[in-house]
Amino acid sequence: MKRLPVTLTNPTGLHLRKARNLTEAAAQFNSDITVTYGERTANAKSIYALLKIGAPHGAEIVLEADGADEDAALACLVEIIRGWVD
Amino acid sequence: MRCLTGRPASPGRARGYSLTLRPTESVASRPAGDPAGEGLRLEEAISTAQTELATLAQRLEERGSRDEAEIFRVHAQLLGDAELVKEIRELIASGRPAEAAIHQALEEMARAMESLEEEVFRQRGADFRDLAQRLTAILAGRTATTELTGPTIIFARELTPSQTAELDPRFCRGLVTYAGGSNSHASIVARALGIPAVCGVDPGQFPPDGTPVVIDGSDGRVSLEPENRLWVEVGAGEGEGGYGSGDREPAHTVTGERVRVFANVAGPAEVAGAVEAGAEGIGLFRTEFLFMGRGDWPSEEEQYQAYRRAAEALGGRPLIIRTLDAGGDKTLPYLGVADQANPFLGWRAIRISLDRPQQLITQFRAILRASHHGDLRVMLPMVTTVDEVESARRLWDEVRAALAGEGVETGPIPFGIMIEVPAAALIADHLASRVDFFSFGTNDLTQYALAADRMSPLVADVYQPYHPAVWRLMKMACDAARQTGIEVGICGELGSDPRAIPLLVALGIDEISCRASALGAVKRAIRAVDSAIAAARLERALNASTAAELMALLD
Repeated sequence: MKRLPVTLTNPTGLHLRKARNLTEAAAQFNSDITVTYGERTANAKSIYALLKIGAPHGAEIVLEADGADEDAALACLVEIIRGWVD
Repeated sequence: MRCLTGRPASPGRARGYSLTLRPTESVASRPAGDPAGEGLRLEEAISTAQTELATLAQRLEERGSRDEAEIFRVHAQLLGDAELVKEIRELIASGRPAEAAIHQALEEMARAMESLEEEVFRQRGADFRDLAQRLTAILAGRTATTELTGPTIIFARELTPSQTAELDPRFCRGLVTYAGGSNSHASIVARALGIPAVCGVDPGQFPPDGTPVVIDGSDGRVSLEPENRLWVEVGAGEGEGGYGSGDREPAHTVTGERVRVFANVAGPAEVAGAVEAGAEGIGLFRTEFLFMGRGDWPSEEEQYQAYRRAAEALGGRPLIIRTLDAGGDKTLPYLGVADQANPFLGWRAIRISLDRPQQLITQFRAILRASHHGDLRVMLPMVTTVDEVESARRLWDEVRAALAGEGVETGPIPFGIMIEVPAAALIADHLASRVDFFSFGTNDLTQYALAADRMSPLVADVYQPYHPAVWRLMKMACDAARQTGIEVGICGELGSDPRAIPLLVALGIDEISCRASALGAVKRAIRAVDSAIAAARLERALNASTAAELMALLD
C-alpha cells in the first residue's frame, strides 16, 4: 500500500467536474484507491463519494492506493490534481 | 401593480401569466414491496432517467450549449455511480420502498453539500434534489415535465437544472425563484436558453396562478399586474403564434435609416435557426466551441469545416468570425497556464493568440479558406493596443500571401476588432485607420470601464451597462469610426435589449447583433425610432450623471 499527500491548489477544490476527472483516471487502474480529507475517506472511483468529502481549495488530501499498479496509480492521480488550474 | 425585487440571474424582459410549481410530496406514502422487487424498480428508474438526461444533453448540444449539456452528462454518470446505488440499495434492504430510499439518500447528500462553505459545493445541493425528483417522478409513472399551454412566467421555490431545460421554450417566458444564484446550474441553463430569470424572491409573495407578470431579468424586477403601458411595451415576444410577421423583413427607423440586425451564435448548428428567426447575418460567430472540452488544439481542417458549414447555412449573408477568445472565464487545459489571480485582466483573447502565433495562423488559414463559401469577415477580441492590431494584421497578410502561393486566392476580407477595452475606445482614432470595422463588446466594456467583475454577484450592482461612462466610451469610438469612414456594429448584451436601441441608432451604429431570441424585439424597437428624438435623447444620456438618470431617459 502506498500513500501520498497532496494539496488542492486550484481555486474551486475537488468539486463535481474535478471529481469526475479523477474517477475517470482512477478507473484505469486495478488498485483500490481512496482519497482522505480530514476524517472522511472516499473511494476514488466514485464521483458521489469524492464529492461527499467536500474538499475545498487549499485542502490537504491524502491519496492511498493498494494493488499491483499502486505506484502508477498514485503518480497519475497526483499529476492530474497538480495540473488543475480550473 | 405590485413589484417584487430579486437578484438578476438571466437577462432580458418578458411577459406572461404566472404559474407556481410546487414540489410533489408523495414520497414514502407507499408501503414497500419485497426488497428484490424494489431493487428492480430502482434499476429501471435509473436507466430511464439516464436516457432522459442523455436526450436533454443532446438537445442542449444541438443549440451549441456544450457546457450546459455537460451538466446533464455528469448527472447521468452520477446516477450510475456504484457508491450511490449501493447506499440506496442498503436503504431498500432495510425495508424502505424505492421512492423513500432514493429520497433519503439524495436529500442527505443535498444537505451535506449545502452545509459546506464553498459556493461550488453548496450550489450542488439542487442538483441532487433534481436527480431525486426525476427518479421519484419516473417511479410514479409520470414525466417530470409540466405542460404549459400559453406564455407563462414560472414561479418556484427552487428550479432544478433539468426542470429548467425541459420547460417548453415556446411558452416558458421567464423564471422567478427563491433559491439559486447567477452561478446555479438552473441560471446557467436559463441563460443558455435565453429565458430571463430572477432569483431571491420570497415564495410568500408568489402571485396566484394566472396573474399577468412582466419579468426583467436584467435588473431583477418582477411586476405583478403591470400597467398596460409596460405590458404592451414588453410585447408578446416571438413564439406566440410563430415569429412576428415583420421579423424577417429588414428594419428601418420611422425616419428611414436602415439598421442591419444580425445574430450572435456559438457554433454552426445555431446559424440556420438564427436566419429563420430573421437574422440578416452573423455579427458574432464565437469560435470557442472548437477549442473547449478537448485535450489539444483543433486542426485547420476541423476549423475550416465548421466555418464553411456556417457560411453555407448563411447563403451569402455576412459572417463575422471572432478569433479565439480564451482566458477570462473560459480556460483551455492545454494552454498550460498557471492560475491567474485576475483572469479577466490577464492572459486572454488576442493576447493568447499573439503569444501562440502558430495557432492564430491556423485559425486565419481556416477562415481564409472558408471565405470561398460566403461573405466572411474576421474580428479580433479584446484589442488594447495599436501593436496588437498591426501584429495580427501582418500575420493575416502573410497567411493570405502563403495561401496565394499554394494557389488559394482570397478576396479582400474585412478585418475588424472588438471595442471592449476602455483603452481601445480612447485611442479609437488610431485604431480606426488600421481596420475595416469596429464591433462593441459591451459586456467586457462595462466590466472594464467600471472595474466590476461581471462574474461576481457581490459587485452586480456596480456592473451597470447603462452607466454614462460606458456610453461616453462608445460615443468616442463611434465618432472616430465616422471620421475614418469605417462601419460600427455591436455584439454585446446591450444589443439584445430593446430599451437600448434608440440610443444605439443615434450613436450611428450600422449593425446590431443580438441573441437570436431577441431578433424580433430588436427589429420592432428599430422601427419605433425617430432619429431626431433619439439624437436629443442621446445627448441627454451622455450628460447623465448616473445610470439611473440615463435609464430614466429610455422610457
